Amino acid sequence: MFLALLGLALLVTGVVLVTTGGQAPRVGSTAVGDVPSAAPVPAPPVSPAQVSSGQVSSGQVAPPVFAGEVPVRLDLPDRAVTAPVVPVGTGPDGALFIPDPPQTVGWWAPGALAGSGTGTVVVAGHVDSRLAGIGALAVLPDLTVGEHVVLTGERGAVLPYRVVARREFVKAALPPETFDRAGAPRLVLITCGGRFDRSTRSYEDNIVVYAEPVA
Amino acid sequence: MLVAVALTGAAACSSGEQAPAMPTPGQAAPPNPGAAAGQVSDATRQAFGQANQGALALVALGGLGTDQGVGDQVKGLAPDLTSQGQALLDQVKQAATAQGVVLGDQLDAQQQSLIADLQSRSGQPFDAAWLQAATTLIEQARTAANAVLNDPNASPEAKAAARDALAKLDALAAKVQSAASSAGAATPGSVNAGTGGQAASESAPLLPLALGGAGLVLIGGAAVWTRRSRPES
Repeated sequence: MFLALLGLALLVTGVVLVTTGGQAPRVGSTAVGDVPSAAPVPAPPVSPAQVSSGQVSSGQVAPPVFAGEVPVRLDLPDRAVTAPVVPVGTGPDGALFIPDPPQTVGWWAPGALAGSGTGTVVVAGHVDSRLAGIGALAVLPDLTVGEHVVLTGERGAVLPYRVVARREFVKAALPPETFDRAGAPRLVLITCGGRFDRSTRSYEDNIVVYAEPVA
Repeated sequence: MLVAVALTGAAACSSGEQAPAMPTPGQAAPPNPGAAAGQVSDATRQAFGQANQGALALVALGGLGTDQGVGDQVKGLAPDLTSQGQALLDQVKQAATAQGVVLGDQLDAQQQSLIADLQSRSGQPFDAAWLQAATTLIEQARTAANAVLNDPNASPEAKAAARDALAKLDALAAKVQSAASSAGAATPGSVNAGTGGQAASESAPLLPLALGGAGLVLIGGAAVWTRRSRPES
């Protein structure tokens, strides 16, 4: 009787894992670091008196800022990875275009420029390709907090970032804030990961690495 | 040119002209006699300030699109952005003044960075980035209008203005989103970045299959043991 109950319990556990795909623990267990907020950086405190007297608006005026540059190269120096960067847009189906060669990565051109003082710089690339093998961003699941990421601009500006967090999302749950255009400056690297569905030849998850500009 | 006017005008109209006296912290400074002094909450000031910043950004972005846009979509939408932003700005200032709140005319640091980012682009890349920025800023302006609507201390006039602004912003947002989609500038809904399978974390659900298999073996074993242990009749 005991053996039968134990067997039944194992059978049920197996069926549950198969039907749910075991996704919740898989996604949660890969979170590393604290994701920088996509919300706008709060302006310095402004007292109600200052606002009402017209001394300042609800925000503050910043000195002239570096506008940023179109990125043309990505370096992950701690991983000896270098990849050319090309501008990409959003397809009619709502999916981000990704350059075909997995050793080339795409910069989401409607987003922020590399080094911009506001918004998210989004760079994405294939983790692998059936014909061309492993991609430049296949290292993303291994990146750790503190590693360096460097973008080089079209006019030669070298723009260093530092990894602050990594997350794995089921593709359908990729947060729209990942592409935030007006929040605090940050770099987001995206590729695919998790299980591979051979019937659709696609991965189930997105690996997202967040990096902040190095002052 | 328009954006330059907006920015320089903002600088010219800033603090000096509107700072007659420093009121006591926590009190509203009535800019004109008859305004409701001391009755305005911090939440109301913040709501007006947020709406004011949103409107200023729309005016600046509209001017930039008129100056630098190359495609018909941006050239067509930019004047709408400017006019609706200016109308919103006028409404916000009027409502705020009526409640004794004086607002500034300056873009905040992040809005300035966004404008600088866009100014450094040209051609189609400018248009795509402008459409995406317009989508974002209209959403921020909608949020600001909602903040006024949800502020229990905002006057009925201010709420009516916010309601009117929301309706216009909704219509403008629909146009901008449609243009952004056809220009490849919409916010992506998915990222499909891998077709090889070489980087898969696991190719088959081995653990669930092993558990299920072990369960079946144990159930089968228990059945056999039960049958054998029955006394033969």
